[in-house]
Amino acid sequence: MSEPLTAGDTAEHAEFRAEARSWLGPAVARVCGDPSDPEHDERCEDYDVRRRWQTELAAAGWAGIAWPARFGGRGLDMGRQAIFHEEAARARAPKPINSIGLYMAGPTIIAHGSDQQCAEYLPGILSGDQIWCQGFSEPEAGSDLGGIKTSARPAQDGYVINGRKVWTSYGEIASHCILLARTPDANGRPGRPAMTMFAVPMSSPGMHVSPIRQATGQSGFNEVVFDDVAVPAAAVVGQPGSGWTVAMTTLAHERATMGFALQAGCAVLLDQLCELVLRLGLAGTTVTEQVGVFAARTRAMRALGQLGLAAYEESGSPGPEGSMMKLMWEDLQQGMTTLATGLLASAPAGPTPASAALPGPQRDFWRYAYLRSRANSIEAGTTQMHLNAIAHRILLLPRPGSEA
Amino acid sequence: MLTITRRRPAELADLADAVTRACAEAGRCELDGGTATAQLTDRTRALRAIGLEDVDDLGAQVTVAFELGRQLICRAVTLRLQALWRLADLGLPAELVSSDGSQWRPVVLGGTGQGVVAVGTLAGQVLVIGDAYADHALLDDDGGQALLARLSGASFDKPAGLDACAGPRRVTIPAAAIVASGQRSAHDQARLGLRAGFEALGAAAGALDAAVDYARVRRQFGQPIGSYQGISHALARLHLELEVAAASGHHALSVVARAGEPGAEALAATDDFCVLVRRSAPVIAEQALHAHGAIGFCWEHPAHLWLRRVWDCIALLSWAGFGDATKAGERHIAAVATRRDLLSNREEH
Repeated sequence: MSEPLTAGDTAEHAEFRAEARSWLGPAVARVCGDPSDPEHDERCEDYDVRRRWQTELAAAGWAGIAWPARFGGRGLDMGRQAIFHEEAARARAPKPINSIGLYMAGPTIIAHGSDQQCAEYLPGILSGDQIWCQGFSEPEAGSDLGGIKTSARPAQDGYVINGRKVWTSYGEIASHCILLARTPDANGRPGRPAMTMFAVPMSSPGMHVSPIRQATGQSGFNEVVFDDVAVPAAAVVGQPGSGWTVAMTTLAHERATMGFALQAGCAVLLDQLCELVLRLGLAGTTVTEQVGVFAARTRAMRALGQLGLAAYEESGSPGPEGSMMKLMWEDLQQGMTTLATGLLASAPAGPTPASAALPGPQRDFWRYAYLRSRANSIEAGTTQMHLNAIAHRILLLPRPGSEA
Repeated sequence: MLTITRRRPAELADLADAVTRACAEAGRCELDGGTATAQLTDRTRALRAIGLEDVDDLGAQVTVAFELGRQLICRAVTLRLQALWRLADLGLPAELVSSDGSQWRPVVLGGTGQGVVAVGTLAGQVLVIGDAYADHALLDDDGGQALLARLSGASFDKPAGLDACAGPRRVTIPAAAIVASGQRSAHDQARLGLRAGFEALGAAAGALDAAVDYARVRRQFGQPIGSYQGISHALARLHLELEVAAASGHHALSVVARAGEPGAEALAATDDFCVLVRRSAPVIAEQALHAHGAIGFCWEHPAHLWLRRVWDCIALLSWAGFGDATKAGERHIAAVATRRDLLSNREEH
């Protein structure tokens, strides 16, 4: 990068960044070795490595940066959480094993959970002793979250849950699930669009988890089946029927700060692309122009994230920048990995000695990154849903079927 | 709309409103370019009345430039303003080209990218933006000097055009016509690039606003066309591109405005912004024209004026040396190579 990563930091934020940076370098090396190894990224996917990483984070006080101090966090602002995400991605740190707990389920429980839930779950979420998964998407309710069919039927002392959740990351190792289910409305009538959020132990009788193999060949997602799973009334997060509001908190926390990690990930990928261009002897060709555009867009994405965070801290809710960050991220990831894949596809037959010398793991890295980036259009809200958000919430265009 | 391009501190929001009102009073640019000098003088007065010529803060200048692009005020008027700000950056007296209020004396911004100083003459590719009205030109020579030249006595290789779509033309200016010169710094270039980039972005925003307004009311197949995803997603993408470029511009603005920042940082940040403007602004204005359907292709509709204005401004930022994605890519690849070499040297030792 031709500009310092501290651009735009206040003096306090710059100090925090320096502290984070000096801790991250040695910690990453300790847990997962040299980040310049071609195998580094694959190593960082390993669950044992990610467990060790979360243990390190928790021990050093980096796990709950924006969590209130009374729940074991540092009680700092979202800006510092964003800075830590950015520095961690830049240091090529693994993701903590309980990412969903730390950044989604935990903040949701802090905002809406009972005292008992806070006491029971938050320490384990921070330490990584508990691993959480998220039960939102279903086979027939992907983008249309309001269309979920998994039901929680009131029963004596609680609820009985039936249904199927899919694309559940960490389902195979999770100890708990933050689950959105359909419940009867306040008048007890079933079938009305009322939802409730639950905290459900994965060890509950009647829960079945099976892996879903992805286009990359790996199995990072799962199907989770709920077959007459009984939970107590105390498992409700927030109020019965308030599930939609609670779910929005969960998603808002994800979108408020994760954009910085995504941006820093793009900056790392851009440098890896430049390395590839240099190794293949393609600097100075037409590829350079594309690199120039990727570089400008990557830095613009960071500026966009800063503006979005400032707006979030002012208003308390994430603005439409979240959708823009998501769309930028998928464009950049897919654009850069597609370019690299194209370069490698033509490299073996080329006369450039450097292409023949390219290590196998580097080729594997780009093949995996290219295939994995296909999911970017689907995960964390599909491209079309984010375009809808911009069209309807910002441009105020009429919705389909509108008489306006 | 809650967007980056519209979210401003209160004082800049007031300034933007004042520009909008002054533009409404002054009227849009002409379709056929036959504006009388008296009208141009009136328009200049309308902008001068709200103090735009004296705006010296860069953040305020780019706000004004953005709004002028969006409002499509006559090109000769915005060029004059851009030229006056440029003169102030260079420390050259504005009186050299300033109007006395009764006479229209605009200035053209031009460049000599590959300029050659011949004996007695200065020749090179000069942009033909607004020079039909101009009596002065601002030029750059190869030695880091900015020159102000009288256009009387200059010879052009083809007739004047009103917009950059006509392409550059070669002008030969007698050396005696150069009335002032000043050393230009990296920050001077960055300020020029930022103002031109924001004016281009303003023109793109004007075109997009019009397309969004139209998509809300134009009905086909019984529905507003903006309710069809073929239209709404396309407009949302354009909005994304506009906001991304604006975010990059605000970042560059903060780098350029920071005292003591090295010139290279200011140039790199401005260049990133201009790379995005150069790629996105024309696409936004083009697609906004298309979204209007056949009416957008009519001479009387302003869609083509925003499109022309975008290219005018791109010509200006290119003249200032910004927006070439290949150069930006070379810069980034070189930085990665340098860092890698540094690392491997460190390991060897």
